[in-house]
Amino acid sequence: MVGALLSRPEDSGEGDPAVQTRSLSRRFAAIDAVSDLTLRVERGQIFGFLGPNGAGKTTTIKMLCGLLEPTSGSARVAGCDIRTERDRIKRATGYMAQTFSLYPDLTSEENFRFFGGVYGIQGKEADHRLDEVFTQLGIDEIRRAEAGTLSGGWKQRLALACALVHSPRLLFLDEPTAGVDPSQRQRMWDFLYELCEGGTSLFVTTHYLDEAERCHSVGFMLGGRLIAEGAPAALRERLRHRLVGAEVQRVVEATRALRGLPGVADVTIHGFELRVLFDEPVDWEAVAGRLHEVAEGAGAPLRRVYPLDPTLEDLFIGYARGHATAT
Amino acid sequence: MRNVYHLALKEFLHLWRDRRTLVFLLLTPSILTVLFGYAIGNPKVTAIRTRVLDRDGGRIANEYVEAISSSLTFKPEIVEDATEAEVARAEEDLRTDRIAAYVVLPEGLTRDADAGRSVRVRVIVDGSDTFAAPAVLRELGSTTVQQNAFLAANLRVRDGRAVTTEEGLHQVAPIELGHELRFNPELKSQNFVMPGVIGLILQLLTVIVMSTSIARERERGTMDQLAVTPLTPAEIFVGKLLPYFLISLLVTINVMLLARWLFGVSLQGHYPVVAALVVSFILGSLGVGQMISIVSRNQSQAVQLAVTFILPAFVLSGAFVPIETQPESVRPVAYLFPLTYFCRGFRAALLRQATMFDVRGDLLAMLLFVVATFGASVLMLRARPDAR
Repeated sequence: MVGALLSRPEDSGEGDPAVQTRSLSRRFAAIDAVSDLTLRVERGQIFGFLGPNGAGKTTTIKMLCGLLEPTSGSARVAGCDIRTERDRIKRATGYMAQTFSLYPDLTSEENFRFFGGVYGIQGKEADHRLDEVFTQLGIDEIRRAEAGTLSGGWKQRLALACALVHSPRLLFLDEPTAGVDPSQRQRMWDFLYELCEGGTSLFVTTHYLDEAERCHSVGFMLGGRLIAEGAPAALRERLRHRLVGAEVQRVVEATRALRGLPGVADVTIHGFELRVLFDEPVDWEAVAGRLHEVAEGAGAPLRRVYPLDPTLEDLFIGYARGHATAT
Repeated sequence: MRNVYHLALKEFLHLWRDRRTLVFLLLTPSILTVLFGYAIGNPKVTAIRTRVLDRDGGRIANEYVEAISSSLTFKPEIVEDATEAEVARAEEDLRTDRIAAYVVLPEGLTRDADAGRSVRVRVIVDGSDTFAAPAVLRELGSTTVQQNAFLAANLRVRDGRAVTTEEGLHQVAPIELGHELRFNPELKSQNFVMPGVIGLILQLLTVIVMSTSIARERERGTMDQLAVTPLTPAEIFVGKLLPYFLISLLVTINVMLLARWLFGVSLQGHYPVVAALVVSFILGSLGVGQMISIVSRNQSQAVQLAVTFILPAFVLSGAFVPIETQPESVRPVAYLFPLTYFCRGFRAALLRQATMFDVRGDLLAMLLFVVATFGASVLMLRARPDAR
């Protein structure tokens, strides 16, 4: 069943990466939304595109989908040039926008059939595709509901269905789980894995770093630049010796004091735990004494200091902080 | 282009869901037809294009020429020593709306009038302009009365004798003003106004409704979703336009039937001419609407822009009152609106049974509008598909 939904008739550009950009840049007036982006996304993978708001994620996706002309640089999407082969890209890719962008006064089915129609899928083929995709996504029961009346989770799944109507080889998803409850997010990700297993490449932006952990590889955007990319595990490993944990009662005072310490990039509060990120790898036992001393001085003595397993969130904060101090 | 069908179908679904728009589309034209049909004032008319065919050349003919030339009512064109052929040409020019009236000062006018013999000055007026026609007759009537009074005084002084009532009538009023009204002999005002009203309604409908269509997609964020599909800008343009084009045609027929039933306006022109005018006007106006929509960020902006376009068109186009009543300084502005050409051509077609050749100028102007707005819209859609 998954196979039927995801199988693709022809697969041209065998061996090409799903996305390959070279020095891709986009300027808006005086702002460099994306600068000098060189990125490679392998086929058959889920690529997580991360970064804070305004980092240039949506601008990048829009350039890759042909919605926006790059100011300079080049990119190939599904083996096609984004400047000269826009029409082939449109047929090979699907795009699910950040905000719900279906017709609220049309029913789910009408929305799906409309998008099918513009891709040339009509008649029996459309009926078949509708049954297939709606069943697969579990949205058969909302066929006749007007899209505007649906709740967040249903809307997202319907939007995904419409983006899949023409069986794209590559799917761009801009914040697919924004504003969706955890169980719906779970369903969505299960389905994305099914798609990926069927051979579709996925390019996903997200704010949820726990979701980023599920991607095969990720890229971090900050201020329009790609500051890191790789498999989540490999990226986490880079922080292995830069992160130290500390348990404390008065977290706010302790944080303030530790942030002032030379060599400390940032301190984040997790309940009674502080996660202290250093600029350079350190030996946690060697710095423990200094941390105790400074916190004590601020009237917030630490209960204990210990090594930590880094998460992508730590990484993200580390990069963001590093970038902010660098500029 | 097969894809266009699906886009058009979707637009229909939108209309069906949006009951308020649907009611507006179908009901407002009828209401406006009734309102505008009754509520037309009587503005002062000036500079009526009038040709004076002087076949006399004598003193009284000069008096007429002088009176016509010095009156603001007329924009005269004097033909001295006019021939029969020139009279015939004036009749043709009246039909093709090159002139709005012509006056024939007959051979022997001065001689006969001085002798107290009855003589007839002919004035032929285009009755389809119900504002200009009475003004022409009024002015020439007063000139005639004045001339007759002078003549009567002269005769009395010269003869110094009493006259019988019978003879006196001839002596007092030797000049008779013979008027002939063409195209709308009863000077029925609806005959003039209704073609303009139909133009106004179509203008309002097409520009407003079309102006929100792409702006709405943009407001909902669906424009991006459309732009990533293989639909080309031209297909998006045509698919969006088609439903509104068909509805506009329906409304035109509806309004023309109402005009006939309620006001007895006999709208009988050559059908191909009427159809060509209506189609090119609707397309041009929808093109303007699309352009407004493409440059607008959201629907309310689009409507504001549309109204901004429509209002001057309403006032200046000559839909209610002849364009001649506008001051010369603003008249060129009227030619920026397709409504101006439509009103002129439509009136000619319906009231004077104009041929395709007669209205070629108006048709051409409106088709230029179609080409310009369609071209600009598609180019703008291509240049910035997401328009941000």
